[in-house]
Amino acid sequence: MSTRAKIASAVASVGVLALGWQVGTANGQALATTQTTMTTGTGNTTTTTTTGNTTTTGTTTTKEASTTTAAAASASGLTDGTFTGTTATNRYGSVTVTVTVASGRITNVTAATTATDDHSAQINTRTVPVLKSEVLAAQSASISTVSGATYTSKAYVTSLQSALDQAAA
Amino acid sequence: MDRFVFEAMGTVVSVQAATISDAARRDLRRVFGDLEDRFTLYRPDSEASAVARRDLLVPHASPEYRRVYDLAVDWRERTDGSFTPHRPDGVIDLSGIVKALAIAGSADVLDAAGLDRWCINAGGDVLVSGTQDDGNPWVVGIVDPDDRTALLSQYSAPGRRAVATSGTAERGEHVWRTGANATFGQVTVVADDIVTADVLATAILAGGPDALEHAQRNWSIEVLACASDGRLWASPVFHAERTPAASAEQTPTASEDAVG
Repeated sequence: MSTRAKIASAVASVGVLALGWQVGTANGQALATTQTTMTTGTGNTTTTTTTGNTTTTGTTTTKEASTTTAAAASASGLTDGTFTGTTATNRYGSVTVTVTVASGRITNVTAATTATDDHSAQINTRTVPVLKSEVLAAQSASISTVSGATYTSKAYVTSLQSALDQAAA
Repeated sequence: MDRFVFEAMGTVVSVQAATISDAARRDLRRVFGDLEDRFTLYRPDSEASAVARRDLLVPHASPEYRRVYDLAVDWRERTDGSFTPHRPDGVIDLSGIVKALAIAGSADVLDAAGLDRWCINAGGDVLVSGTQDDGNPWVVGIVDPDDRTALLSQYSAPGRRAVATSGTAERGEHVWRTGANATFGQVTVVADDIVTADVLATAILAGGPDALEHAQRNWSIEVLACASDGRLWASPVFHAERTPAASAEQTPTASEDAVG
């Protein structure tokens, strides 16, 4: 279960209408939160994610939308305060999401992870789902060598590594 | 830099170093050649083929064979079975770990030759040491699994690091799955040594997100995993606009902006 999915399940129980997040963490610290707006239409749900430096799409978001729509039906707005979601637990530890609402807007989302051991606390959020556009792009000019799935001698001829070797020869 | 490119183990090996002497070239070929002779399944006269046919039982195999077999079984235990030397048809296939051992052996050759700046790439698995000639770090490009002529990302190595990629793109589904997990189509792992990087890349490819979590919990590694449906899982080192050194300062600012 991904961190984002864990947070999704925890947040759903808070009954929050609009929520998105970015989990970008290092050494167990939750480093970033995002602001999200969700509009609920008739019969279907549209999720628009507005963030400073990230977007969330894909299967996980769809799952989140479906779980929070039920809550949305009974919620007319956001009440100011700090809300702590139900703790989601898996075999590596647990995640508790806390949401802060001020003036009807979400101002902060934090995900506290408690792990079965200290090392898990660090790694729980280390490798996170991202979009292709969020991954560090290669600077072709500075590439020394290329890592990829094992190529055969025949396939090597048309590989990027072959091009690098040729260029240096 | 000097560059030595040769064929071994059904793929191509590229070695870069300041100067690679004829003796070092012979030794590099021998490291790969000796392991290939013993462990190839493509030649019926190899020891591995004899074991595969059950003409030779593992307990009666050579010490060299059993050392590698035991190492692979150790890794099977350590990865909860995600990495395994046993194919579904029962054949013992050590070729993955053998290539990693050949890279490690090549590193020994270069170290023994007094070289401290070098880069070894064997069929897409990479081990680097030191820096390039000009003092800049070795930069390892990572192939885009959707387009093998393009790069998905890169990794700048701060000293000796191993970068191994396992995937289904080049040789087909040569990595057999432990379960029905086909979440990932390509997995790159950065580790301190090439055997760890190679084994864990294979384990995560085979075992999916559970294996990824298990690997992250037990080893100090960086991971870039590409799901078959286009999703990616990435360690912070692979995130755009967040160099490892700057991320601690930049990110809180970014989050405040996002909230405001």
